[in-house]
Amino acid sequence: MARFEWLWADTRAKVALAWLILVLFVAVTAPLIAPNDPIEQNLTNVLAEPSGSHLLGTDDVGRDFFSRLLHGARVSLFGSFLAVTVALTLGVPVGLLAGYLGGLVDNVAMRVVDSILGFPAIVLAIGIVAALGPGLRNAMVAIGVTFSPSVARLMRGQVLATKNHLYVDAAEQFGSPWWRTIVRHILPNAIQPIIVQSALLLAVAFLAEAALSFIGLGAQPPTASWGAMLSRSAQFLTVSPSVQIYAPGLAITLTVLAINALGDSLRDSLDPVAGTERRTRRALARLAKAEKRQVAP
Amino acid sequence: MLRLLGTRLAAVIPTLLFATFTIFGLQHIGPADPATLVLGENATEERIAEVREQLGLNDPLVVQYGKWVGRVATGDLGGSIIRTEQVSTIIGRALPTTAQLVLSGVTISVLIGIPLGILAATRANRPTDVAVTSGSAVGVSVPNFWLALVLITAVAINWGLVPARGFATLSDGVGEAFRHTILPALVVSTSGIAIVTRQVRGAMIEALNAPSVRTHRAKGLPWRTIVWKHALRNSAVTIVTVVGLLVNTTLGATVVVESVFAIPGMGSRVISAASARDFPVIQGVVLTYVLIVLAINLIIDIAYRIIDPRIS
Repeated sequence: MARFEWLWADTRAKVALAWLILVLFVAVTAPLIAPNDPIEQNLTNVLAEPSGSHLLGTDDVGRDFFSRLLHGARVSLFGSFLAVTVALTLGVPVGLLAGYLGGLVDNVAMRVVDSILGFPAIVLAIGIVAALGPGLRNAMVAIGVTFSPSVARLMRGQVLATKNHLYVDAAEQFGSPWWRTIVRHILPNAIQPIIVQSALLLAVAFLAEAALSFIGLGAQPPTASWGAMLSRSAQFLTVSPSVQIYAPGLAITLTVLAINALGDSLRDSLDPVAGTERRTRRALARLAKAEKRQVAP
Repeated sequence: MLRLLGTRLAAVIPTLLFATFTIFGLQHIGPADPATLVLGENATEERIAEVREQLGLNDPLVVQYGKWVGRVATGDLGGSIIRTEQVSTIIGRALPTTAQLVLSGVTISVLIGIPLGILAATRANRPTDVAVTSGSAVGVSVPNFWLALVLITAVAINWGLVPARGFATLSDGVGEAFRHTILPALVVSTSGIAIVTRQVRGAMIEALNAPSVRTHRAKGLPWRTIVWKHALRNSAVTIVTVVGLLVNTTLGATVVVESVFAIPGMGSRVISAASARDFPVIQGVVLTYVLIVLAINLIIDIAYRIIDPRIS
């Protein structure tokens, strides 16, 4: 079966992917396609209603809102990718080692994981940002740290399920060193759920970036991030053009929805009939299609 | 029962220990010196040295940690750096507010989520189910602080139905408390409703596919009884789990939403403390959150055993 077949069989995933490609395109080309400078102020034209020269009007210091929205995609995407990278960098090795070595290492690692999971994520992140100092990079590192225990726990479970397979035993009997066994034999066979989890974490990270920037601990002025823009609009709730309250929020919602949809679809494709909970019409249709294709080559 | 409680409590201790370690460590992982934070950038060298001595910052970290845990265990969380108040006083004032908001949010999530989940499960893969499932996908994707802004604009400012800012607890009168709570409670429950709906739907589909359901139908039991009595009871473990999860999620949701509605709860406190780097307040509030979450997990753990005696 082709690797990306799941994508083409699922309309919802296709729409989600199209939106994400658009956001990614905007993020990469923002400096080229934005009509105005996103941080250039014009105090003679503040809180202007949308018009031909300013598609979404101007904010409280006269910056072009549309240009800031385009640049905001860049900041928000970069932030959430950073958070997921941090979560994987911390979580995957810990989970691998805890699962493979077992015993004391496993016990201690899982205690640590459990206790970090006891914090509401956003609260721990706020605490870490307070220590490191506000800013987009620090905020997303903090978010990544709070996500890492869930990655570690999932990775550990996958390793436990994988390490008793015969091929692992065979590799060990042939004298493969432990690190090689982990990297070459266990990791590739245990990584799929981690990929799905990363996609779903990306969605949560996106929301967290928006929230932290909204409360002023994430992206700092004059940087445009969707959360930070909402925070400015909120301060001028009654006087700013209403589109400035809807546009960034809608952009966040649609992007998170798209990431979630793609993640769900990916999960369904890897595991089409695991549990009735996931046995959606989508998964069933796809399964039927795949079977048909196998019968008629 | 008591014995069970004892063993569960004992299991919580290592978790709590590590959590206190994390909380204590917060102010030491950053680049800034705590004494400089207290005094500001322009303090003299002597003054900083004095305060360092006062705060015990010259002791080894382990000693500092021991002293801190010792104080915290007796309920002494220290004084705020920014306000001239004890941290415990600040938390004591903010906690009832947040508790009222969280309880309202959880109640709304359960009251809306469970029926929606059952509705979707009984009509699995039909238009109603697709609508409910899509709705819950949106529910987990919408940023709650944005929803708060949109609702404040519409309901509070444009229609003038409820106040846009501030809060009132039950001691200010039930009507007043309701008017101030309803909008933020709805906002913090959005993702909760979505989570409950999703989980209940999954559990109910499974319960309705059980062989016993076929037997019940064959003996002529009304469908309504099967769904609401038999299947729902078999989904009880999932529902209890999700309610436990819900408290954690809703607590997290209140943090930012409180600041949008200018509600003087724990979330607003920790945000303002974080901006001012007021570590005693941050540590106190975070510790309170952790204690609440651990307590809820403990209650859930025990509730399992009452609902399903097979779990030991």
